[in-house]
Amino acid sequence: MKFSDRVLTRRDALRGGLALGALGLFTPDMFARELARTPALTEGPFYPDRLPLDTDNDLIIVNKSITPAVGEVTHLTGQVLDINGSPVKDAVVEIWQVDAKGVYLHSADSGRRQRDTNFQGFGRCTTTDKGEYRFRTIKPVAYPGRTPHIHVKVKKGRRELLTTQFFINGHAQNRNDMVFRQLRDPIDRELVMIDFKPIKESKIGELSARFDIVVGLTPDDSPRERKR
Amino acid sequence: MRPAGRSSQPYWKDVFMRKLVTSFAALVGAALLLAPGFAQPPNGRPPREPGKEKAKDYAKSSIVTRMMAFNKKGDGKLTKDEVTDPRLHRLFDQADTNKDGIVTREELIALAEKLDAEVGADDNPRGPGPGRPGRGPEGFGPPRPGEILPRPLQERLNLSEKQKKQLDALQKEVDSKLAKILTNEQRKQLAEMRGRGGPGGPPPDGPGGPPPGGPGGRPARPGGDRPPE
Repeated sequence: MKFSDRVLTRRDALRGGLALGALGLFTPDMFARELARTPALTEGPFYPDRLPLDTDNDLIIVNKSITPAVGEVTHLTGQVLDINGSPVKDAVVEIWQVDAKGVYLHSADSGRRQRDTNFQGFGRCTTTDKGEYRFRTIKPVAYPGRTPHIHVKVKKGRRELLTTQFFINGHAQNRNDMVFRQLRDPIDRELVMIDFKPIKESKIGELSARFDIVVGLTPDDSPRERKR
Repeated sequence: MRPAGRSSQPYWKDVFMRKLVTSFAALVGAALLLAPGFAQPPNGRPPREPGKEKAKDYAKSSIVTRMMAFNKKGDGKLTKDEVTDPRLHRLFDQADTNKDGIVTREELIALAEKLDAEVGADDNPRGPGPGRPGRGPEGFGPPRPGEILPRPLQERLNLSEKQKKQLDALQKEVDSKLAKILTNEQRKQLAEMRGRGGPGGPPPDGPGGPPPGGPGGRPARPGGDRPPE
């Protein structure tokens, strides 16, 4: 028997392999990823059942109406990135939220309550080469039993990359919110809390909000919407 | 030490080398496995202090481990430049209580504790908050079996007092008839299934439910508790 044969019997190889496996196991922690993934949250029941005719990224003006929606006008911008920080271009970002009266654009909700017909309720924006998107909408208000939030869905081609919601940073109702509370990790909570800052130059008190979205792009990431 | 002639020398050598190689590999593996858990703060605080269970917990909390993972230098002094995810800079500022631009493990532990306390103060999902019925994600929990219109829905429909009374009466009838149809075993099963409800839990009081205090709880109400028809 030659030396090399003895040194690498199967058992030895197994032991060595286990040790190497332990090394592999800890690699992700030792070399931190650049960006943390935006946590997923429930889609909820009010993704529009019938899409409006106007689905552009300006939710304040419906079609060519001259009457804007009621609410605090907010310029919502951000980037869609992968976990390495590379922009995801040609992704479709969809948002939907209640109007200033707290009513969704959904037959199950707006059918029974008077909604603000000047608010589009739902919008879409395709990301640029830099992964950027932009919306003009209103600062979210509370829906009965919920803290103010905006629903977001990110699609690429036919795949859904992420469905989540984001919240107003520091809003008192957040910590009592059934959906927000599903995030047990304080860092995950941080990733869905957004600052709404006044735009200094604006004479009508417009706000700006930035929400960068970090998605995973592996095939397994396609979210399976939980039944609710 | 030469029991089997010339060939024994390389044999023992081989065994020795083999053992050396495998045990070294195992040691490296074990060290890597244990290293994160035993990583000590720069001031050399012992990892386990009796009576400080909580501090130990927070040292492994997500804020500490996930933020410190950015500390590429590994010196325990996290700077903002190192935090390559700008969305976490707000958390960095929150942690940097002495505003020296450096966040230490201790500062992160303190922040983890603080945030936990804030959340913990309200962490009482079972307790009936005043005026806040337990609701599902969008205002409606799943109705209990046989529930006609959950209370949140009633509120949304703006039912009049008269309508509510009528609904209550109907609910009582449904409850009692349902109780008659099901066997004791099935009622028990139903109660158990409800007990394991997910987040959101059961809806608040079902409209027209029996008065509290009856043994067995709502769905598995013993037949004797049936309201008169």
